Amino acid sequence: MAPLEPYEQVLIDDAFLEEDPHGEIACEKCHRGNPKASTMKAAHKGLVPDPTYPDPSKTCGECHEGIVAQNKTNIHVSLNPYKHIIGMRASTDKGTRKKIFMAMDTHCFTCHSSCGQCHVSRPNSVEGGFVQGHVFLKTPPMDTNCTACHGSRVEMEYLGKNKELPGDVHYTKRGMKCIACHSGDEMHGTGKDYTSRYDVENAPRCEGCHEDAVSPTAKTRTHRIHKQKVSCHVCHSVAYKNCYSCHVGKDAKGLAYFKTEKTELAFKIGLNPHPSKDRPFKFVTLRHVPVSKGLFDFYVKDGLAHFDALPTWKLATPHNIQRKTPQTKSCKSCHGEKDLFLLQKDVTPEEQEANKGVIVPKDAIPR
Amino acid sequence: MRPQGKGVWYVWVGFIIFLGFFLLWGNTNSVQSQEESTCISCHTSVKELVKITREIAAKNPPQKSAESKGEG
Repeated sequence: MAPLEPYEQVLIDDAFLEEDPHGEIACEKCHRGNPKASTMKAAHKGLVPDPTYPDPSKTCGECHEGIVAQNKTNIHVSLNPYKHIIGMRASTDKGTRKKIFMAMDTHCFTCHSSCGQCHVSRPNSVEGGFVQGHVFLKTPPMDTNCTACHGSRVEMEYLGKNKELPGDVHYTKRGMKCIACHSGDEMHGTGKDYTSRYDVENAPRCEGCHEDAVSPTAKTRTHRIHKQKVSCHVCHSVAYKNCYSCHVGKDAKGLAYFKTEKTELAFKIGLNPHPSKDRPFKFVTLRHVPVSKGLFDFYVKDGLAHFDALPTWKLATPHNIQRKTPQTKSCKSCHGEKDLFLLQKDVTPEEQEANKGVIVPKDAIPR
Repeated sequence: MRPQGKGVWYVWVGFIIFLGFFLLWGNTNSVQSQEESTCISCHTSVKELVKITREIAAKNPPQKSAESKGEG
């Protein structure tokens, strides 16, 4: 997404001052600074550009107390799953962990959200700027906010931007935007500190709309047969993006950089690494995430000493659902079709141990 | 109407007039404070913002590492 012109990023629209109730609040009440100063420098002294991060209780919380209280556990803000995952892979040495989390502050934790970065501005990760002249939007727009961060995978899949692959049927046929499935309640957190986004209790589920698909008397025979055995995505997704290896560091000027080695479109069915009451399936779709043993080598050697604690092929819910896919053509499209499954040969030697729980043994491929 | 009832009526009328003035004063004050605010005068002026943001960009050009590679 092209960034806004610098002046557009901070241009206040008359609609904000005249029609938005938030426009009645004096600027300095939220942003501080000095509204009576005659120079820009003096006016911006002590300015808080995003007064909703990290603690929105004195701004949004003045009126929206309930949502702000929940928001502490909003994983878009807390990034708790990231911390948990890296924490599990990281060395137990205190000094090493400190260096890793400092590196994460520079590289990973800059991609968080806040009340303002959803309801007022574009996220900082795409250089920010008002979405609609500082007007507060109850529903964040999909194109300027949701996919501004969820671009490489979700946007490309959902809108059909991956080469020769169709967009998600919910979008192409129904024009559904993110909010159609991902409610405000889900986005604002539930008060529980989740360590995985797949544990979020009010996250959307296919059967929330497609109740018949999981019914014991489902109209479609294959639904009755595969229920609880394979995730919906195994049959109804097409190829999706997988990224390999990531290294972070700082260049000669001290500017942060990242390097990922390879990106490919692939479809792999593997063993469920994260079985739960809601996802008891044996087989799920897996996506390779951009992690590597040397991710933080620039900052500390062998930082991820417990790299094998988690698979690098992660449970995935690709956003490119189709009614008909290559897998739904016939029974033989999957049964015995070993190329669809994540086998030992698909995993690099250095990642075998990490993925031993998700690699499908040859004799476990459905015949 | 009894004289006592009339007195109460006058008090109510007086109160409503006072309330009207109070609300009007508050509103005027809010509009005045917005008008006096340099935040509003600058951040609603395209011309002013273009000038200032160009000056800032010339002094502090945005910096991104050229070493970043691949998809994030």
